[in-house]
Amino acid sequence: MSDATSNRRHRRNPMTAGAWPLLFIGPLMLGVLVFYYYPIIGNFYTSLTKTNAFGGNAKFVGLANYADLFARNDLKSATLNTLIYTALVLLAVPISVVIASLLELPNLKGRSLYRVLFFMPYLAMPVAIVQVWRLFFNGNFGLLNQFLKAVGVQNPPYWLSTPGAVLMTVVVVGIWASIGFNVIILSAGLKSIPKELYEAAAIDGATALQQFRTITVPLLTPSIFFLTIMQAIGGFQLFDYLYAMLGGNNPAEASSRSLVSLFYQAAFVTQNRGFGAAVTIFILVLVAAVTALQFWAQKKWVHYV
Amino acid sequence: MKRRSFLAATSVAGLASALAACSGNSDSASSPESLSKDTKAELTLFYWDKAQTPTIEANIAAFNKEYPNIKVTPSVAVYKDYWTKLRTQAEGEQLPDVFWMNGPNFQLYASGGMLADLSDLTDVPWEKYPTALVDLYTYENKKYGVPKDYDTIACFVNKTIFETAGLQVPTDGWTWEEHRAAAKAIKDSGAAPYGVMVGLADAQVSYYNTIYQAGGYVIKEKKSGFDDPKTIAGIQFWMDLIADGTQPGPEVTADTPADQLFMNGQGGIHWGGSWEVKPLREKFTGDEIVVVPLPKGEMQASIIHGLSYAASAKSANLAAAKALVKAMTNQAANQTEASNGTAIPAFAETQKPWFEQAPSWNLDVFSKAADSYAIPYPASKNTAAWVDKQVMLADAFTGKAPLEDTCKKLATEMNTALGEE
Amino acid sequence: MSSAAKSWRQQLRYWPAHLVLILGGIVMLFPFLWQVLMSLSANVEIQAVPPKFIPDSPQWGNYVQVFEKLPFLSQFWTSVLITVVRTGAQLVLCSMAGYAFARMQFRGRGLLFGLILAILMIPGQAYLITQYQIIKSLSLLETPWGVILPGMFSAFGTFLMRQAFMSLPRELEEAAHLDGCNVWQVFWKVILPLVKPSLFAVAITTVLWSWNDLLWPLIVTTREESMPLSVGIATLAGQYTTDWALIMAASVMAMAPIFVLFFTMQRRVIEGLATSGLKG
Repeated sequence: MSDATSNRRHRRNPMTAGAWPLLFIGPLMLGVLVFYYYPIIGNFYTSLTKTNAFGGNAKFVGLANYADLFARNDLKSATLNTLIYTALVLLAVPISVVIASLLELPNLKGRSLYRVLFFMPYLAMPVAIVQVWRLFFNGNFGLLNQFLKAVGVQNPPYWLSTPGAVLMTVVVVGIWASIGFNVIILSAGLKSIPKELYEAAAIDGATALQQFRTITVPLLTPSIFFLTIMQAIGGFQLFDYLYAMLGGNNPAEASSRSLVSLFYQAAFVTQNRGFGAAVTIFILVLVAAVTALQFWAQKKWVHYV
Repeated sequence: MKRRSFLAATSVAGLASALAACSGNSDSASSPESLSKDTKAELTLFYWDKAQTPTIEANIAAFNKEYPNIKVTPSVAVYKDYWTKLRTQAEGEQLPDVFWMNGPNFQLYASGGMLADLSDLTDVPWEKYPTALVDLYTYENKKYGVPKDYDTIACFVNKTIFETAGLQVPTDGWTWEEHRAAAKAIKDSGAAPYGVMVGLADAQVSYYNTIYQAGGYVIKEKKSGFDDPKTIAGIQFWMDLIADGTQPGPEVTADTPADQLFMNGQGGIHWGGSWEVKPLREKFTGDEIVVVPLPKGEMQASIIHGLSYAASAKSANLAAAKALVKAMTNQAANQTEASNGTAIPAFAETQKPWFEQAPSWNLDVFSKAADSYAIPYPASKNTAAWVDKQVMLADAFTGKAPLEDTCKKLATEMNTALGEE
Repeated sequence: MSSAAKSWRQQLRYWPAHLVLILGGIVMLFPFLWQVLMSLSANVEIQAVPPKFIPDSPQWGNYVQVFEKLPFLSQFWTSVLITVVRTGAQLVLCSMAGYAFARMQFRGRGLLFGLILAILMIPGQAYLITQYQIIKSLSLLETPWGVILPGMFSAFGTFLMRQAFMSLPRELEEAAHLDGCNVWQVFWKVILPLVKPSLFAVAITTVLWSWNDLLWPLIVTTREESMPLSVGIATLAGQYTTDWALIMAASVMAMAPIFVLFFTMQRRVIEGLATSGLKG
């Protein structure tokens, strides 16, 4: 290894000696091999098998699960739902940029209180806080529909059981929940922008809005890029909110599934493990493609200083 | 299965079980005879209807009088979660020792080797239970469940709402048209926001009945009946009510369940099972409710079904588990069930208190349905596999897709699932 | 003019910012506030039209009911146990491995680190089926250990700790080695105290994830007694669909520990998370 040369100056470098490296990485590597590498291979194999109704007695079926996957409408709607959700939840990023830059105004009073308020949703247990949102969106006596009726909307939709509307409610909650983390990352990014840039711009007569556009946003792009990646990956993992938001016997349940809900339904409700595994492989490919796309696109808009 | 035979008891079954007991394995460790007052064990019991908790607790208490050192821990999950969990537990070899079993799921569990063979329970008086129910829980000549109760479907009618709407309480033999007109009258008169309320996600209390009333069928000889025009007519019944605005669409009952809406006085008629009598009586303490047979289409029909208690084949305390199954289904337990009013007990001649719990409610309607026009709950080897497909009917109910197309699609997918059995 | 007055004048100029932040803050806070109010309301008040936010008299009984309808204490301890063990394990294992990857020379270092990073790229569900089968074959289904085990090993934590160690000057270790400390002593006594902020970042992300996670414990635990709170709340909400007051009281109780923890150390939590993001 190349940086080994720098250590060669010492006669006996203890950092390379004997069993130390093994001792330090051994425990983690063992866990990683057993709980991550073996499973990913096992999962791929599972996707080529079919089990009985109790998840046992696996038989090799080749690519049958994949053929089944692409033949079914489930996958289409789950993919579409997931993509729509992910795209819409990305709206949290620009909202967070505005909030963070307001929060970081010099000498702003009440900053720490504001910060705590915006951060709270990030701490909340999804299944617990969603119970409030379920009431908010309840069709019969929910706050939203009471408000809509009060302003004259005749028959507001049953948000939680109308296909399509369900996804929107989850988007609202998703955005609400992710602003906190975004703001923290962006605030840290904002603090690293040199004050002199703003002072110089102010001397040149730039308005606050112009400064925001020409200094803040461009210099923040690395943080924004990081957040869009995180937010997109998080969007593809949509499960908790959806699971908690839709109760049992919901006519919109089947058509509102995300890819992960489809996986859960297949692998752990109907015990169709092979099919479930095939769904995860599909998610994997999709996430890889979207992430690659983002990295490719970043060259056009992210400015590294 | 002949309709009339569902509740007929026979002694032949008893004889068969006695024979089975002679030829079956005589592994004494797994038979309840090996138990004594000092036997120490821990058992888990799993069920899904929390309204029946008082009966379960009373029967466990009775069991503990006989076996004071066997600790029974009951747990309950809602119906949908129940089967998800049970399936996961079965795979993980974590099944509860004793649990409720129903017809649609029975064959799957029995053929998967999940259930303990109960044929060797010599002192269970099998002839005291309806033959159809004993047969329902028999697989390859072995008995895997002792019947617990039976249930049929009828209409719960809110008399107060009918009076406000200026309507007569319907009588036996009323027709689909009369039903639809009554629903309309209730809504139009403003007596209640809805005429009828049924949870359309629950086939057993809703469209399964009307399918048979229309002369259609759900499955016959491993073929789906959903592409049969008569079956479609049976479902159209509900489409018409939704179109009239007299029956809430599934999106409404998903937010607030149909029985809850009915209890809140939001509708005049509620299609429900006999198991709902208990929770309804807790809400309606007087005589404002009366039970009326389901309306007649081409014919009269009501879905009949019954549950059983089963034990896990892999229970660590199999003998104790079998003893518990027995204790939950014996004559005394059935009497408790009847006097608590929770479910109609399966054991012969124990039902009376259940039917007499609210004389003005006319609960006899449930037994008349069972005696004269009941249809057994449609089931096959892996019922769950095709029942899951029926969620697509929600597309029709919510107007997202035409009913006929949805039914055709459903039939195709069901036939695929049936072909895989 | 005094500086205080000047600062107030500045805040006045900031009024649009304050307006946006206050409105936004209310949107953020409202669900929590409403949930607490509902947890103290009667069920009819919750379903009232028009809405009624303040209960006539606080219904503390809702909280008592949580203990009757849910094995709350056992679920609470399961949540505590899985959170504490996973966090502790990650701190030790990730910092050790991160240190080795940052500082030690050994064959295959680049490859192994690449293998760790690759885990981050793969969506979690791809591991679940086989992880479930492993836990099953270890007879750990329905136990806290079944929930804990896979989450003890974190690629993200290792990555974060490696970055932290890389930013330290090498001279520190060299001096300590010359003083006669062995590798473990140097790591434990000299280096680890210097990366406290990163350790804190690993701890806080693990605690939050572990306490709130739903999918994995939902699969591993099906019995009420063995569930952590996240699954318990989901089950309760399915079981008592229309008993809103009860559901809200249980939800408040399930979230309270995290909020207490946060408010006692909010500054460090926010700084810790900021590091985790910047380093990522």
